[in-house]
Amino acid sequence: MKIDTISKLALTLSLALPGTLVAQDAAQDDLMRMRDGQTLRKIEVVSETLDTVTYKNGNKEETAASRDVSEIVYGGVGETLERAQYAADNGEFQRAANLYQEVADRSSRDAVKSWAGFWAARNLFFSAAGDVNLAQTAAGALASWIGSNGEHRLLPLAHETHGLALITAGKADEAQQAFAALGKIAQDKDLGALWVARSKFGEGQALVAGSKFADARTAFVAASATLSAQGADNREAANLATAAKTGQGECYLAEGRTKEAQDYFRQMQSGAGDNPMLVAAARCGEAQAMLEEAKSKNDFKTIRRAQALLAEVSATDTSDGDASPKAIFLLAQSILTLGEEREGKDFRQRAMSMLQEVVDNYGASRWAAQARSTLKG
Amino acid sequence: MKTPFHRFPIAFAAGALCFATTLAPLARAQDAKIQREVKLLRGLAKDWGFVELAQEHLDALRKSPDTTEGDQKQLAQVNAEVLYLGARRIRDLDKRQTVLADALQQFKDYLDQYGNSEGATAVMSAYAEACEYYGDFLSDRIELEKDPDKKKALEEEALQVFVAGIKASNDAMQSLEGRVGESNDIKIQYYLAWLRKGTLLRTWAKTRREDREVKADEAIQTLEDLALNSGEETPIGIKALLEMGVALAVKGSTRDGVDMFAGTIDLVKQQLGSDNPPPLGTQGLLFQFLEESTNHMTDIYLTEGRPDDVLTAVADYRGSLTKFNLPPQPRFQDAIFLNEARARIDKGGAENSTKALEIAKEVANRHPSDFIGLRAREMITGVLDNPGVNVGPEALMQAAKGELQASKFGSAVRAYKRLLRSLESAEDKSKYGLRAYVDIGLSFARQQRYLEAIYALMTGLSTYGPLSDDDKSKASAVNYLNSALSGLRRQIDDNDFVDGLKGQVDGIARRYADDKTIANRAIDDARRLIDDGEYDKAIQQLTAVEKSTDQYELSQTMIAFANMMSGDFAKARAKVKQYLDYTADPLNRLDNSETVKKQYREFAIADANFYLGKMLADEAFGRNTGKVERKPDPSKLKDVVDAFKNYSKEYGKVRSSYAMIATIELIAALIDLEKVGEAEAEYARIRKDFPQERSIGGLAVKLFMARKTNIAAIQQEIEAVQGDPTKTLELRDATQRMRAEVRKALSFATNYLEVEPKPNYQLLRDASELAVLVEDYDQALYFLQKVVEIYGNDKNYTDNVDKFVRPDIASILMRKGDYQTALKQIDEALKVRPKSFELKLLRVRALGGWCEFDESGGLRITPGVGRYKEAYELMFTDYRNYVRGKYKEWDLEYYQFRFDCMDLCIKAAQEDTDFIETAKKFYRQAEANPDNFETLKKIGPKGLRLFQLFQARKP
Repeated sequence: MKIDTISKLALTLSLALPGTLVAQDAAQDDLMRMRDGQTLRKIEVVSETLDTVTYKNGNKEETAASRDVSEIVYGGVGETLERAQYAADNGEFQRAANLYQEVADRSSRDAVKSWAGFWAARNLFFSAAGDVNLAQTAAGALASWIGSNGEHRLLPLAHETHGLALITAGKADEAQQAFAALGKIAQDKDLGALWVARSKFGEGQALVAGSKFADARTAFVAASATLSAQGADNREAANLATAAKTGQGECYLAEGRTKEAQDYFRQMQSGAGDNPMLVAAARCGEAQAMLEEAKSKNDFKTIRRAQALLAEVSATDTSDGDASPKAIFLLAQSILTLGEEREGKDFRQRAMSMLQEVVDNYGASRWAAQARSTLKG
Repeated sequence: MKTPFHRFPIAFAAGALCFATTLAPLARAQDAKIQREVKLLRGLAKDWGFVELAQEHLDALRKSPDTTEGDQKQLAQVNAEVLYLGARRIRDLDKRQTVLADALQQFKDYLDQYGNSEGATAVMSAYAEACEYYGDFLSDRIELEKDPDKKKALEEEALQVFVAGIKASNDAMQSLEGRVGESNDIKIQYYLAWLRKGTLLRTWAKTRREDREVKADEAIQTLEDLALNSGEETPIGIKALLEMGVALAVKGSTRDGVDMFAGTIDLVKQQLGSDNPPPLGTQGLLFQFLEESTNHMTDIYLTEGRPDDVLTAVADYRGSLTKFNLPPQPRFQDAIFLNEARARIDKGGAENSTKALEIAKEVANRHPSDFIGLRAREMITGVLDNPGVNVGPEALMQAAKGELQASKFGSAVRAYKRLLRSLESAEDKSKYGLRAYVDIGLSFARQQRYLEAIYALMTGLSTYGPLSDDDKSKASAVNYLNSALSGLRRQIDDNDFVDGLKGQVDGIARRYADDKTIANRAIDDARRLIDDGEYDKAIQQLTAVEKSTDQYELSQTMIAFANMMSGDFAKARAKVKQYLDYTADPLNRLDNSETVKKQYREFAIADANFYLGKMLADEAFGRNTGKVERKPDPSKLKDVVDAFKNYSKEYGKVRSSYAMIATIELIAALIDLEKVGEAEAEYARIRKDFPQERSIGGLAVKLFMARKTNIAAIQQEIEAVQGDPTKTLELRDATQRMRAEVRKALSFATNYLEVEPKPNYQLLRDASELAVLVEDYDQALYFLQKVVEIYGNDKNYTDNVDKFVRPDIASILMRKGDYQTALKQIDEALKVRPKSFELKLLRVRALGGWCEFDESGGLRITPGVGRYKEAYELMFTDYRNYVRGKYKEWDLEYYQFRFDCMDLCIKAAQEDTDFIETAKKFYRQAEANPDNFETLKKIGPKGLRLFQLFQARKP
């Protein structure tokens, strides 16, 4: 590089208006992660719909199929978004909700408004953690968002979250309707078998909440059936199929029919073949049923047997499903139940450490929420 | 990606831009001695990282009276340097930050005080450099910080640093500007200060969003001026342009930034590849510029989402590495490689992800405690947390191992599970399956989650054991399994449950355990079974141990042990004999190479001999073992002594705990054989070997009691002959023997006091009594004072100490003639126990003394404090009530009472002659009532003695 370069640069600089250098780079600071692991940076997301995500990459406008998109992170939004993400990562969901809402209110970009608005509502649901009133508020926020974003990429997730919020708020019937709405959208917009299955699964959960256990089992079976055509390497489908099968057994537990639950899970295991996810879920379910029954009878021997089963699942479940966090959570519960006399002086410390592991390593699972609640209590 | 710190190097060949030399030319006028010290201090801190040592030396110099004011100034300057240079070597980032902040403050303080003096310019430059370093440090920290509040705080601190650094640079430049023509060194310092100002401005722009545009512009201008001024093809000029590129990129003009970097890279390649390349030192510097440029360029490509360009640039860099063969700077090179890893992850795909993970792992290993390492580890975690990213098994294994080594057990387990999930081919399963489960088991075991550990290891063995050729891993897995089982047994109180698990574990372990593991396990199990009293089961386990194993001989002696503990001494002895015969058989001789077996044999022989002696001891002392009850058989005491007298010497090194027990048994046997002296010698030795062992303290008491028993026997002899004029020789002999025994006992007690952690209360009191017996009042007092010292505040003993020990101390003080102190002690004791007649009697003695025969038979009259009337009043009006209530009129104690009253009256008569009549009255009462002292004489030796006292003291 010679003097020419400097001169050229000096000329460029001198021609620039004070305080405004030539804007060679547009304000494209968004990031999109794809399901196959690829990451697109320095893009500007224009819109997110159920079908496609439209974005600018340099001067070119491009699209990606929404079903291939894993995550979008909007850039250039400022410190508030950073704080929102940090709060959410740390489990401060109420704060995260407020901050996301602030981002939504302040942004001039429609895409950001919608996106941040959704996350505000979803974090509100997370913050509810079993509180009926907060869950109701979250359900309201989600309903409002759904109303304004009828074609958004995140609409199915919003419906699902809405349904879960209504369940927590004690409104099982409305929750059922929310999931039914999700199912309709999934069908009408051809969102794929996974979303159809998720809607049925959600319906099942709502029916359990409404104590309609037989109907709930039917819904779970329907969810499983919907997924039966999915390939074995579709991890998300496999997870949901397993959850649906497990849900049928958990219906029995919700009814207090622990014996039937144990039988169900044993059958589930024998029918699982060499599907490790199903085997792990079945064993975990059986252990859960044993544990419930044993706790009600103060039967410490059976609690031990349940512990053994749960330990086996925790140690050997490689399926990346719900079984591991569930097993660890229930193991911690069993240790707390057995107490110092049977588990030694450090029983509480071990149990709390296990609950913390669920929160730290399985944050997205339903057991993390329960673990958080137990740790707080 | 941001480089860790973007400073201009401390030293490179061309132009001799050595930091240290910035000080030397300006400090020529300083004293040579202080210069040497300063050089030493710099060396200690900078070259060796001995910051604290340098600090200590510095403090010593500052405090030294030989240090002049001028020297103090030099030392103040080097203090800041020492801190700064040393801080850079501190691995812990938090600590490094604290020390850096401290160093900056020291620089500031120096400049505030000496800012205008000679030598200050060098300090300004050093201060600016330190600010640059610290600014970069904080910038890196801010980039990694997730907490927005902490980020803000760091930004505020960084702002202060930038402002201070820029000011220091400006001050240095101002000071040097007029002298640039003086020498090359000064010119270089001047340019360095200028450059530093530029880099501080651009780091400021990068770190603080709100100031970005303004500060970036300032940086660009500053650096451009420097490049033009210094010459853009000089090293400083190139560096200035490089930094300008960074400033442009920070401002958002990334294309111009990339152009700058590309231009720098081309220029460097040109210069390095020319027919007439620069000197080697300059080459190294230029190559560093190439690395910095590549790093910045790939940073930009990455943030702009151009992973292919990143990979092209890195490939080009690797080409330059090979072509020019110059040593890379790890901090830049690894930053470049980490950018490559990031680009590969962004591109996606199994091959890219695998490669990225490998790169990140290698970088993390090379940077255990800096920001590059932190970034690398964050990248690894990101990959592992993203199930959508496909990664090969070896990379996953390495990443998982890294998590385990970092004690992130939860993440490690998840990572290993992901590895297991990814295994498809038979080859991969064989290679990774068992290893993964072993590490999962370890991860759980380290968290004391033994149940999960057991299941992980069992599953690993049963699923992948048959597929794997790795016998070593299998044996390790079995070992860990056994340990986990033992851990679980200790942790939970549920033997049935654990035994159930043990059955499953045994089944699997048997298939994969090597003989050694089986043997170890058998011995562990046998120990536990023996503790639980299940001797037959234990013997069954031990009998199964293979002869070929190292532990075989130990298993044989353990069979003898099991028999012994069950009470079947005959079988135990037979087994021991069988074993010892086995070892004596030349056919069973061990080669020198069989070191482990030899070691086990040593243990086993020591054990065998111990068991023989122990059985004799149990028989001699009549101890029950197992279900067998025994009566003591003293005829075996001598055998016990023979069995154990040399045990400690022969086997103490191998079995120290058995040596201790053997010696305890030996001492007990010697005591019973009345060989107290030998027992005491053994005690002294064992106490030296086991100073804290509490069970040995009981032996000492036993030994002391044995001495006391001897002394008591001699005292009885003395009493029998005392007062008999025909037995004076016997009396003298017995008295001498008694004194000798007492001295031995006291000597033992004194040694005992020195070695015993908590001396026995009764032993000390008894020792004190014995000391009084031989009139060694000092020693008697010593023992009692020890009692007060050790037990005075022990709530279990305070009562006894007040009731008995303090009065005893008073008594002894009186015997020493210190009646005043004794009286004080007694009066104190009476406050606590005002009704104690014992104390009242003591008070009488303290006030008025007493009268007795001494050893030669002469009369000893002690005066007390000489308050005879008071003593008599107390005796006659108060103490008499006690005597009258407790004793009959012609009991010895009543006679004694009369004698004491008589004695006090005789003494009181010195002041008041009326008391003589009273004294005579007491004499007459004793004599006449009833029968001229006959009743008194008939009481026994004590009565006779009292009669003689009456005669000797008759008024």
